[in-house]
Amino acid sequence: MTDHILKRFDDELEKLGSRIGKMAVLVQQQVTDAIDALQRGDMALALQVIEGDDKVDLYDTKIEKHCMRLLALQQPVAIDLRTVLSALSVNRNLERMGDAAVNIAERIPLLEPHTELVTRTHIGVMGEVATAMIKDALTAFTEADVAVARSVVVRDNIIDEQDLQNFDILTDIMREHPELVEAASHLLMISRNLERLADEATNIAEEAVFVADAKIVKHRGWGRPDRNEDGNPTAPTADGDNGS
Amino acid sequence: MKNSKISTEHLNLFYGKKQALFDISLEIPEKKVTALIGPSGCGKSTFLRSLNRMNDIINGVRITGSVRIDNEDIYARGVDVVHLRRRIGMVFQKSNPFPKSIFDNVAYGPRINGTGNRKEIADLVEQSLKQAALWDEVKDRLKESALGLSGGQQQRLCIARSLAVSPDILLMDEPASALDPIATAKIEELIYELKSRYTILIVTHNLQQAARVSDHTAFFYLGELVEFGKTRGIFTNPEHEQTENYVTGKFG
Repeated sequence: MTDHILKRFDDELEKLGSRIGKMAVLVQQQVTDAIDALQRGDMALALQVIEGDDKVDLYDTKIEKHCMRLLALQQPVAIDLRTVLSALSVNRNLERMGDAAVNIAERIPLLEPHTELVTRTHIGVMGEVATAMIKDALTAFTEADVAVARSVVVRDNIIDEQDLQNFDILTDIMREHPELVEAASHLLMISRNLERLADEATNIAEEAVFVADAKIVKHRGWGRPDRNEDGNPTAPTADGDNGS
Repeated sequence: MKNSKISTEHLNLFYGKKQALFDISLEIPEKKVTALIGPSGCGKSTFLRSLNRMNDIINGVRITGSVRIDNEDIYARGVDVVHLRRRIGMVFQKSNPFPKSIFDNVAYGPRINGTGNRKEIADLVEQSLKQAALWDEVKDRLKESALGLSGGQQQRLCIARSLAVSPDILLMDEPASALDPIATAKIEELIYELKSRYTILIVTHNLQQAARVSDHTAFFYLGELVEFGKTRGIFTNPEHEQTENYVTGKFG
């Protein structure tokens, strides 16, 4: 990409990208550790995830301030504007992912002595799919790769379906074994958190499309026409803004 | 303030009976860019010109209070104004190259300062043009008239001319307001580069420019200093309502 005449602006954008990258690595680790801790019943690792959230929050604050400074002092436009707006959005997604990882970690000790219950659900597979979605969403975002972004969004349906199936499995268990209601409820929430992780990954993938093509694809899926508030298709205007 | 280069205390300035500056006390940090902003007639240019005694040449100007540079009162008796202005380069809104060659424009200052050695002058010209980010564009036509340069190049030539006499302060009065966006960006990048060596004050009507290039910003209104602080603070969370109203475009 061509450099700006104002090198300070390039430096600031690069620094922002680097911060987002570091936060992404940290959050991915938090999520992976939370899922590992759940599957292995590793309390020490779960505690590590809970304590690690402060660092995620610190990145969140730093990135938000960085974006505010860039918007106020450098007045970015076009792709630079989309980059800063997306950074704000992805920052929020990552912070929520961090919260979801903590939520999973916090429930691990509460599953005792029924940690094996997890193997009767789709949670293991959901963890694998969600982790892969996060990794690919971040690749799509950093490389503005629309094809990879699309592959992430498609997988969100798999996770949604597994979450629904977990609901049936776990409510059946509750009916049959009232003594497992508490543990099964925690697993329901863990399943919901994995579903949230996949949602956040999907949001990041959608930001990749916004940066690359200036298209806002969330809420309407790919390839469908823009619609106004009444649900009627709208024709794009010369400036690419459909007015919505 | 630590490392302050210029400090004014209770500075008042009158054009005859009309008071243009009211009790300005301000410390300008060394080797930083300070932007002076405010609506037309607020006193920002008057303030800038009081720092190198350019207002002295206007009849009926009277000043009270003090202006200190490196802790020396520049309005004290016996101060050599020519010597003072040698330490303080000034760049104006409209570029004003002399009708001479590019080389002679930059060499002008050192020559009248008594630098006679040709090699020394040539080195100074090259060094100044490099600092002003103009060398690569003009190195093969140094003998050509400066008036043949574009507006942006002429402005950078004027900056090079200021730098050639080794000032330690640069005063810029709307240095990019007559330039196109690319030439403006080059001047802004240059200002950012130069601040490692010089204390720079820039008067600008362009708030975005003040935000982009400066470390500190002073907001003037009706001859008074309303707020002075880090540019980051002024443009994200100013302390005074008047400043907020001005930077958000609600008056001015």
